[in-house]
Parts: sequence; structure tokens; C-alpha cells
Amino acid sequence: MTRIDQHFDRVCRGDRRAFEAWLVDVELPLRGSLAPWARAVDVEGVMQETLLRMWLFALDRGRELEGEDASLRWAMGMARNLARNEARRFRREHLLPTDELPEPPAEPVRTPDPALRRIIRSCLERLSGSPARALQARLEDGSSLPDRTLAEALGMKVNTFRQNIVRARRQLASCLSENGAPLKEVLP
Amino acid sequence: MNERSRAALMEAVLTPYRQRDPEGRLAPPPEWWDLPPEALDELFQEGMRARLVEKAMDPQGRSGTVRAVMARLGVQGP
Repeated sequence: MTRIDQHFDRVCRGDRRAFEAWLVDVELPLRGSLAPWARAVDVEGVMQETLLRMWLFALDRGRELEGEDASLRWAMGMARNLARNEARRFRREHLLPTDELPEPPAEPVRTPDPALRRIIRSCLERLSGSPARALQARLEDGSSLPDRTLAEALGMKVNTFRQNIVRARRQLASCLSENGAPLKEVLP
Repeated sequence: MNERSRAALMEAVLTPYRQRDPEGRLAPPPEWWDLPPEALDELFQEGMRARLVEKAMDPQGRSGTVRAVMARLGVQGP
């Protein structure tokens, strides 16, 4: 039984903290499987909707799944179906992949290892001034608050706030590259 | 579209924050509609990196996506 399977077994019994641990393990491979749909749908929206539906699915029929990492494979199929429906709703079907894609493999868990975490944190600590404050606000509260609210709290206009995050991300990318951060090992 | 405005549009979409439309569905940020297809490919890669940075900064390895989903289920904080 894989770590994903162990988490999901507890999720099926209604354990929300186990669901959080499952999300942490499946997010990157699940997101990676949506690359072919990036032109047709809002990938972030499809991700969040898929993950919310997986919670409901787990409580209802999760125990029916069989095989190694079956919950991840099921989530990938659900995400593809959602993406297809969203593309139709947005009238962007012409941007869908033309060929029928093979089933994406359920890839092994790829999470940032401690060394990569250290490099990322070290590079973030080197940021300063407005770019650092803007990115920090996004990292801390970006999942629950809109940019306008975050910008106002920092005394910035929303466009200035975003330009500062752009600057911060560029500085961060340079620092990660200079320090040999092994991003390719964790990003599809 | 110049590079500066393109980058700002992409940043507006990179946030994990999503509003719901009147039917309760998650809605893309308005800026998403203004991005050309090739920028959406780039946005996908930037989104992977953004979530990775968020995971690295969180003690439990949660990205903004994970935190947004857990908040919808009524679970917040560590």
C-alpha cells in the first residue's frame, strides 16, 4: 500500500487531516496531468473543483477503488472530465488537444525534498523591500483573500502589488538557478 | 501587449484565490480571458513553480491550492 493509498483509506472514513495529507501528495502529479488543457481552461479552478469533488467521492464511493494509487488515477480522470466540460462551457473546445490522449500514468509522489526547501527558503529570505512584502502577503493569505485586499493592506495599488510579485518571482528564479535548485526533479 | 502588462495579467491569474459565479462554480479571474494561448502554456509552468514555492514555505507542505480547498471544507490553519 502506497502512502497515497494509506492517506486515502483514512479519507474514506471522513478524516479531514488525512485528506489534507493526500492533497499534499497528489497535487503536483495531478496538476501536471492537466498541461494539455492549459489553453482551454483555468487549471487552478479545475484543480480546486476536482479536489473538492474527491472529498465527496471518497466519502461516498472511495472504498470501491482498487489498485496502487487508484485514488490519484481516479482524480486524474475526474480532472480531465471537468476540464472537457469547462472548455465546452467557455466555448474554447477548439483549444482542446486534437488527439485522444492516453491515460496519464499515476506518477510517484514528488514533493520538494529538504535540500530544495532550504534553497527556496534561503532565496526568499534574500528578497527585500516591496517585492518581498508583496510576495510574502500572497504566500500567507493568497488562498483566502483577493489581491485587491492584500494590496490595500500593504498600501499599494493592485497593479503595483502584482508588478512587485513579478519582480520577486524573477529574483527568486535567478537565485534558484544560481544555487542549482533541482526543480526538474519535482516538476513534470 | 507588452511584456510588462502580460506579466501583470499572468500574475493576476497565478493567485490560488478563486471567486464563485452566481451558479456556485469556481470562476477564472477576469484577466485569464485576456491571455493568448501561448501565454497560457507559460502560465501553466509558472503555476507549477508558484505552488512549489508555497509548498516549500509551509510546514505541512501545503500549497495555496491545498489551503483553499481545505478552507472550503472548513479546515484552516496547521
